[in-house]
Amino acid sequence: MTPFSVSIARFTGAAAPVLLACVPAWAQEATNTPAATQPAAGHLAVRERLQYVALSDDPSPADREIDKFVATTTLAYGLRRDLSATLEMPLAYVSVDSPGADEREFGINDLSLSLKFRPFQADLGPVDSVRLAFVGGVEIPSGDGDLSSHSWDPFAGAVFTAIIGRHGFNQSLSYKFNTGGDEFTMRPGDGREDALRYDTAYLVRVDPASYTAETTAALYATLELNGLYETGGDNEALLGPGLLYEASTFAAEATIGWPVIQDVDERPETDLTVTLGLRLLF
Amino acid sequence: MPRHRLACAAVIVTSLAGGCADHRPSQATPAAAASDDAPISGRQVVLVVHGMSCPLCANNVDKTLGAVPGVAGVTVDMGSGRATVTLDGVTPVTRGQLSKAVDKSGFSLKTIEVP
Repeated sequence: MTPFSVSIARFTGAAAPVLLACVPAWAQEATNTPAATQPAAGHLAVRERLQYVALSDDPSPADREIDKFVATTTLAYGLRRDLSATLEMPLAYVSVDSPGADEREFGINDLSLSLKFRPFQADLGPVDSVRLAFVGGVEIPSGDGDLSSHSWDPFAGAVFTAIIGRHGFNQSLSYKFNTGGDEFTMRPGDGREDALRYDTAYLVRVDPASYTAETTAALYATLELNGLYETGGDNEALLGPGLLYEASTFAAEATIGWPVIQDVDERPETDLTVTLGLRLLF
Repeated sequence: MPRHRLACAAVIVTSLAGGCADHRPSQATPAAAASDDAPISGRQVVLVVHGMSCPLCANNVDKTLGAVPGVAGVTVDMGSGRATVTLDGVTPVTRGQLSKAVDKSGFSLKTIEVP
């Protein structure tokens, strides 16, 4: 069995009970890559993402093999046309297998509170738009046990979005100043080093090819590159295809990611991610 | 370690500065400038809106226009960017109110046509 098929088997074996335990707008935004879009002023968007992450090749003495399910509820509220506030609340179930002992942990991860400000927007046509937004916020040490970094970690970044006809492109850079964290953390980007996230997404509208007066939904194919560089030298990037179905009041999404760059020495390596999501606009 | 931090911070600052240069939000559209407080006389108004790239975007415009007092219904044609607003004929609605609603929804109003 290849590492990929082992990861798939681990996912399917462990997914069912967690999916049953979880409850479930970001327009034209790929699953794991931010976009310079936000809810209208006075509107609330709710997003629920369930992500499975398989980690192995642990450099720590515990030699852990980790299966992680994270259900993240995100609330975004439009404060103004160009400003929104976002609260992310992750809930995690972690299964750790190691030669010494196996552990299971369930609880809240660190919350994240942020503001997104969009100073540039050029709407070039009925569909076409180019936008740039800045994002700044903080991760709050609200998590339980090993699920938290136990530190206030500020982050800042920028997101660029271009939508031309059927094609969409998003590029995001975000730098997190880790003020605490654990050695050999099992949460990528949450160790003692600072972390730079670099995310790129391409979306193409598969159906309909052209919008008409009757259009009420659209299906997109997505391709994402989600990278994480940590200032200790670790660098990992996942590449993955996905699908996004967008109707007028909700969107559903699914994507998979596997490593294409992996130079990781200070934490376990990511073997696979699978993400399912639902977005609701109120 | 500090050198890594500085390098990463420099990449972000450079990209932010480059992105901001010579660009301003497109809020002062011709239609917004032409808005007035006089009630619209007809029962239907067509707004041409740019930047609605997806069904969720169209719903943003739909909901925000629909919340204007005096608006009875909104239909959005994403292909042409035309939002057709039906008025209830009882509560007066002004161009200014419709212009402000589109602005609030986060998109760009190009024209307001009263057939």
